[in-house]
Amino acid sequence: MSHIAVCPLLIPVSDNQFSGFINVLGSSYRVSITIPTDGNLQDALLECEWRLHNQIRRKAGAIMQKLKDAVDMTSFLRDFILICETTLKSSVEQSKWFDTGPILQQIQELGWDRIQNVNSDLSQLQLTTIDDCGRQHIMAVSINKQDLASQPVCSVDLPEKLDFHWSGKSGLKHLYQQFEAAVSSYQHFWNMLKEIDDNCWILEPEHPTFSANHRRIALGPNISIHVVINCRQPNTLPECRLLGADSAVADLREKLNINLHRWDVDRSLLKNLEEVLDIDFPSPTSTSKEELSISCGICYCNLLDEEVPDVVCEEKRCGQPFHRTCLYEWLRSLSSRQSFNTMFGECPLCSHPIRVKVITS
Amino acid sequence: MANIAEQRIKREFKEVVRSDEVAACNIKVELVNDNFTELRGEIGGPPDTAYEGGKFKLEINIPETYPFNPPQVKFVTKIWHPNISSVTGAICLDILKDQWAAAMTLRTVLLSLQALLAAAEPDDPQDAVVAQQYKENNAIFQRTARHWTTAYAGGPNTDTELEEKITSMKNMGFDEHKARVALSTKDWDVTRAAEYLIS
Repeated sequence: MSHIAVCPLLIPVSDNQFSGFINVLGSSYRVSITIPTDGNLQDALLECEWRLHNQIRRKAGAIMQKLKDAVDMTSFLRDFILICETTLKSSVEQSKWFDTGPILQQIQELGWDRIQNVNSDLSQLQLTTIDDCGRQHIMAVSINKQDLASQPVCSVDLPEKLDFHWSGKSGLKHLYQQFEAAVSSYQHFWNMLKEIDDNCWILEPEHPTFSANHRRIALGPNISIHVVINCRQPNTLPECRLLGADSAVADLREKLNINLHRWDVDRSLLKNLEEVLDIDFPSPTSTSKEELSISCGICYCNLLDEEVPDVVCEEKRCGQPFHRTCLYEWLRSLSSRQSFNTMFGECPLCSHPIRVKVITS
Repeated sequence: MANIAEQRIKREFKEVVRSDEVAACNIKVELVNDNFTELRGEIGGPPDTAYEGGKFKLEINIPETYPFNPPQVKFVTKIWHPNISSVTGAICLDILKDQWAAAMTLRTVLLSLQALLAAAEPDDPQDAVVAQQYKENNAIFQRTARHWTTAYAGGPNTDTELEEKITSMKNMGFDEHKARVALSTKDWDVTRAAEYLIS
């Protein structure tokens, strides 16, 4: 009997009946299982003492399902004990008494108007602040119910990691002040980004968060620039990467290199980019997004697993962009020539030679 | 990659449904099941061909590896064409085989099939009998193809002489479709067609 290993105290009392004890979280519970004569577990009769029965009653459906799916007695017992354990564990946690008094006091101190959201036992809070420019910021706080003196887990939407200072005596207010200070320190950064977001076509991220310090800005059909902005000094030259067909991008890249000296930290980021690239960014008012972001020529989507089509056919009259993954998959399906980590083939649209870096997963 | 296949078919589906070709009743796609793997297509016979006025139904299966592999397409409507099997509806068209490219879509496939109806490739046949007739007796081929279009695809032209020959074979006790195949194969010679069916 292999089930002995799982439940050593469950003993066969007849050919088709087992009776005895199972061990769940250190306590033993009386259980008996009667298997019909045909040996089909699905119709087995499972009885257990009321202490356990009361707890696992809600899980009757799951247990029936396990009986149905089980290949043999041993695997069923193993699943059954697992269900009992998780059920008992959760009920133990729920029943633990938790004093909300100290938290209420801390909230009072902070002011209820700064609470955006709170759950029933006050252990999950959302604190909010409005910055100088009317942007609303949220800090989610999760308090450890077992130990109020330990540091709550805080999550914020900021461009840099915010390391909260915490001592056993500090409360919510202390955390909130740190959050407010951090938010106000990024005002300049967000203002610079807002100017870009309002006046340019942002291809990426689709819905920028406060933490996003990068933007992919459309420059023309299938040409874009990816900038990573320094959140502490947003006026300085960001990290720039031009995306698009080499033929189309080469000219811009050269301008970028030649005009770098014209970058002026007293000007806004957008003005500087326009100055250095010597172009006007296509604006949302005068151009449609479809004109600027053309979908991948293979999957016909713009976004695929968060990626935009950035490999472009070098043939000027084609210029079709593809997702790296799509193009690689296509060339691979043709068993194209591969040399080191580059795969060579033809554009699936115009047959002009095209190449793509091999994707190693 | 199944993810790509489904996303793409959804988009293409919209594209074909929206496009002007539908308005002109030339190409059409319908869903058969909800997971976009089975589709039903329809193309109108091109004008000034033997297929004019006919509506040809197609069965389209989308492989999981689509668009890296071509869709599997065959004619459901019976058709007399050198590159389409008159028995199974299987199609011999390069873009559905080795010349498939990932940039092609259902729309381009359906339009290519329409173009195939307008310009057969008898030197790369799917149906050898039809291809031979096309090359050696093109007048008969055109008549036969037109007749099939009327018989199976709802074409408008009734060829009384051919109808009569089929009726006479039906009177001999042959099944209509088998009689049509035999007569078409044997250049509408009733005696040879009957021999062909008996042997």
